[in-house]
This record gives sequence, structure tokens and C-alpha cells, in this order.
Amino acid sequence: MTNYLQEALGALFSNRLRTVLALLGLVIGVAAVVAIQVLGQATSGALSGSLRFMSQDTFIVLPDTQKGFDPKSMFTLADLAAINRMPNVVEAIPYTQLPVTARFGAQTAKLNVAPVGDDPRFLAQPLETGRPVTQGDVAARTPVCVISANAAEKLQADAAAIVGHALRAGDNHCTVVGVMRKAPTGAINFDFSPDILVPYTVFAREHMRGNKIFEAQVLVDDTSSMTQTERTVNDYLAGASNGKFKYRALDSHFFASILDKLFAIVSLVVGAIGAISLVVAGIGIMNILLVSIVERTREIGVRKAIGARKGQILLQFFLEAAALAVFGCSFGAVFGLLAGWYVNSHYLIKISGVIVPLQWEQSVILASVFAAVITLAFGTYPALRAARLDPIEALRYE
Amino acid sequence: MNNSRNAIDVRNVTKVYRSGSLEVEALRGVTFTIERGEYVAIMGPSGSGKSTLMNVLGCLDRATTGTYLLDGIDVSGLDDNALAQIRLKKLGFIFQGFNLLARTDAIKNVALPLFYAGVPPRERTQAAIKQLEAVGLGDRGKHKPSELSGGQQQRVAIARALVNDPAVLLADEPTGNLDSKTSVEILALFERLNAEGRTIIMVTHDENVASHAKRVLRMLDGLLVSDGPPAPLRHTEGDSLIKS
Ligand SMILES: Nc1ncnc2c1ncn2[C@@H]1O[C@H](COP(=O)(O)OP(=O)(O)O)[C@@H](O)[C@H]1O
Ligand SMILES: [Mg+2]
Repeated sequence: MTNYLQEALGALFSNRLRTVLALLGLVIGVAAVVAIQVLGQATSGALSGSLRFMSQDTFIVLPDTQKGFDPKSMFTLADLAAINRMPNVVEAIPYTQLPVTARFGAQTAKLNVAPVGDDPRFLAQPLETGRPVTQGDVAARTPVCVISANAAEKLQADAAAIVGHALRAGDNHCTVVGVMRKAPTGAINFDFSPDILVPYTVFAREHMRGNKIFEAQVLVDDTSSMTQTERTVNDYLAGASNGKFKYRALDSHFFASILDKLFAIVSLVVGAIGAISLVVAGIGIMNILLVSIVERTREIGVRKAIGARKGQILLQFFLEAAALAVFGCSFGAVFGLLAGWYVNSHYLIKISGVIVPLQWEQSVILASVFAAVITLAFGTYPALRAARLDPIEALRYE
Repeated sequence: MNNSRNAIDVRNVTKVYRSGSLEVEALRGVTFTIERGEYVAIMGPSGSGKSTLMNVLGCLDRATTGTYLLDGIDVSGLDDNALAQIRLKKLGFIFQGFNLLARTDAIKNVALPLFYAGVPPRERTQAAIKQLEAVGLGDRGKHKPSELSGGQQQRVAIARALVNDPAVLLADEPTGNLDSKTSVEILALFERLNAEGRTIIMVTHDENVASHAKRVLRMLDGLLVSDGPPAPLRHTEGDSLIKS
């Protein structure tokens, strides 16, 4: 067996340029598929990691805008108070954020201000220092705020030093009572999470003219009955509009299902590219083998005259196909992994902040399957052709 | 192997080529025997059936009718793989165009039959080196065919034909591609091999080449028309062995 392999490799090495050209298609095809596979995994991992911006314990309720947005479909703080009293609801708060110019001391920064409830589960990150917004703050509309590590940084304030001091956010002031921990660098949840969190009652007084709420975030006690709670809330809001409007709820499951659909499409596209590249590369390899057999007709004749059996000639050319396929797929897998790793570690990481380990085992399996399929599908016919050559005619071939 | 003294025993062998409705009777009933240790030349005009006979003798093709015993074995009814095995074990081929593998060195070329016989690499190489020494090319083992002269290439081919210790050496115009001086060397090598007991059958159209053999079979239109010693030389060897 090793002898035949040597023969096959010798044949491939003796015509290096052609071998390389034949392999190019396979290498590129496999590399592309492996890279996309690796990136798909990384993106999926990164996005599901960043899904944390949407707490598992909350859902968002908003008017169903499929038939266009009607300002009358917005609801009020009174509605939120009603939702607050529903079973399984811990707290319902407006879900929005506003860009403001914040000032602390001499330092100003463009930041976002957003409403928050008294439950720490509303916070994107746990507190680094200080205390959260309390029920008392909410009830008394105390102008306090919890700020993100990013906000503290932009205002060039030390987390411990800023607590207890007043901060100017737009036209209003608030006293900083807590600073959140730093989010993982570059994470999506960082971009989505607001910088200055004030009690939602304070937010309503200062920023929501007319008390109109477009979206609300509802924190529930028991996530297993969240769907039921969502329906209750939707029905309540629809009822409050006398049935004029419909409302819908979005929770982390909803976003996850969108992601699932996205990746199903990506997988399908990758699969199609894989199949096409497999066929194209296979045809290339078959072509090279057939050309090589025609060129070596005399040689095959000599081998047969000397006493090589059909099976031995078949094996030799089959191994040549296998060697080509294995070479191409190995190189392709390595290049694909490298490309995937490069894009992942240089670009994706900036968006997601999550380092997803490379799933190289899957790429190895993928490349092996490619190699086997190509050898069988495109190596068999040329090898059979070589094996079936008539030695007399082959020897006469010029 | 058996007790018969015949290396070749051909009885009433015919060969008919069919291409569509056209039938060509290339061999029309040929009968002869060749004993072990004989040195035979086959001669005849173009189209007389020499190559066809050689293909049958070389087990590359099957006779249409008749029987053929090679070294006592009836090979008439054997299938492709069995014939390949016979070629591997019993026959050595020497071609007009040498037919060495171009990208392979002399040792590997000579070892090729042993490769197909499943002999381990080390033994193969040793046997190949021994055969190359026997044809006077002990120092050329690592050379590729392109680095060897025509005469040297043909000697590598002869070493390859001998490496499996065949019952019969079959040579088709072995000096056809060689100049007269080299031809003499190759023919001298044949004579030496024959003196050592090798059975040699050689196709040629050159009377002077044939005169080196001990027996000449002459063919015409698919029939054997004469069988006897070679014609006496008309010229001195050196002059007449011109490049064909
Ligand atoms: N493969 C073939 N198909 C059809 N006819 C053939 C084939 N090979 C040889 N012949 C015919 O058989 C006859 C003998 O040919 P061949 O044995 O090659 O003669 P030689 O070698 O003496 O020149 C010729 O008429 C030739 O045309
Ligand atoms: Mg001929």
C-alpha cells in the first residue's frame, strides 16, 4: 500500500504545476466553506452571548405597528401602574433612552439617559460601587441615578469618587448613587445599554412630555409563565384602547428564534456553496486525472505488459485521486481555519467582545468528508479507465 | 514448471481481428515448439503477423483458436488477471522503444516487476542492482532514462525483463532504435544470456540481426513458411548493422 502511495505521490510531484492548479479549486472551495463555517459558529456564539442585553426575566411590550404607527396607540404611566399590579409582574417601566449632553465638573460627554425600576435585574451590569435605585426613589421621584462604567470613564470620574455627587444630564441634575461594573470590552450589550439610569418616575417627569409611552419593559417573577403574562398585558393594553389597537410582546426567546432562522439560512447558503465547490473541484480533479492517464497511456501499457493486474493499476490511480483530494482538503481546511480565526479575532471580537473558541474538530470532519466524497465520486471513473486499457493498444500509443 | 523440454508449444493457433463486418486473419494456423535455451528470431515482411504472434506468445492477447502452452502451462483459456500473473512470473519483455518509466531511476525501473509481484522494497532494490550489474550498468542505478544513452536504456530494459527470472525473453525489434555499434553490444548481451541458458525470442526484419539467433522462423500472410538456421552473413557485422 505504501508503495502504491509512493508511486501516486511521485506522479503528482513530477508534474507539480498541474497538480497545484488542479488543487487550487479544491483548496479555495474547502477554505471558503470552512471559513464560513467557523465564522458562522463564532458569530452565532457572539450574538447569543450579546443577547444578554435582553434579560431572560423581562419582555418588551409595544403597539403592533404592522399596519403603520398611530400615536394614539401609545400608552401611559397609568397603564404601567395597572400592569404593575398584574400577577407575576414584578415591575413594568418605560423602555426607551434619550441622548443627552452630560456634565460632571468641567467634563462633558454625549451619553444616553434611560428609565430604570427598583429591581437590580433591570441593570445591564452588576454594581461596582454604591447602591441601586430603590422603591423609595421611584415613589418619591428622587433625582438619583446609577451610571455605567462607560459614563464614569467618559466623564473622567473615578467610580468611588463620583458617588454622592451631582451630575448634569441635559437640563436636569441627578445625584449619582451607584456605578455599574465594566461590561466585557466591545460587547454589543455595552452599546445597547444606557449610561445614566434614573428612576422611571423621574424620567417620566423630566423627559416624557404628555406621558406617552411607546415601549415598556416588564420584569416577571416566574419566567415559565412569561408567555401567559405577555398575553395578559397585550390584552389589557388592547382593551384600554377599546380594541382599536393590538399590542405585541418581544422576549429573549423571540430574538433567539430570529437568530435561529438567520443561522438556518446561513447554513443553507454554506451548504450550497460547499456542494457547488465540491462538484467544481471534483470535476477539476477528474479532468487532471484523465489528462494524466492519456499522457501516460504508454506507461500504463508497459506496467500491464510487465504483469500489473487491473486492480493494481486501479489502486494506483485511485490513490492519486485520494492524494489530490486529501492534499487539497487539508490545505483548504488549514487556510479556512486561519481565515476564520483572523476575521474572528480581528473584527468579530470588536463587535461582540466574546471570544468564541474555534471549532476546528468540525472543520477537520468537514474536510475529511469532502476528501472522501471527491475521491469516490471523481477518482473512480478515471482509475477504472486506466485499469481497463488494453496493453497492446496502450503500448502502441504515441 | 513441468518435465517438458518445451518453453513454447503453439498448436494450430489462429488470430482473427474483427472490425465491424471486416475480418482480418492475422494468424492462419501456426504450429511450432521452442525448447528451453533456444535463441529464435522471427522474420517476415510487414503485415505477415509477427507482432500478432508476439502478442499471443507474450500473453498480451489470446489466440482465436488453437492451444498455447507456455513453460508447460496451457494459457489459452486464462482470464486477464491470470494472464497478467503469467506475464509477471514467466515472461520478460524488451521493446524497440525501451519503454522505461521516464521519471523513475534505473533501479526503480528494473524493480517494477517485483513491485507488482509484492516483493518488499529492500529485496526489490537488491535484486534490481544485481541485474543492473549483470548487464554492465552497476554504476548507473540512480540515473533516470533521460540521463542514459539508447544502448544503456535498452540494457536497463533487459535487466527489467530479467529481474523476475522469466522462462522466456520476448524482444520486439530490440535493436530497431539503436546505432550499429550499440546494436552489436546488445546482441552480444543476448548471446551471453542465451549461453547462460535463457530462452530468447526476437522479432526482427534485419537478416544480420537474425543471423545472431540459432534458429529463424519466417512468416508470410499469417503462416509459418520456413523454420531453420539463419542465412549466412553477406557482410561483416559492423558494416551491415545500420540503424533501422
Ligand atoms: N488490432 C488489429 N485490428 C485489426 N487488424 C489488425 C490488428 N493488428 C494487426 N492487424 C492486421 O493483422 C495483420 C498482421 O499484422 P501484424 O501482426 O502487425 O504484422 P507484422 O507485425 O508482421 O507487420 C495485418 O494485416 C494487420 O493489418
Ligand atoms: Mg509488427
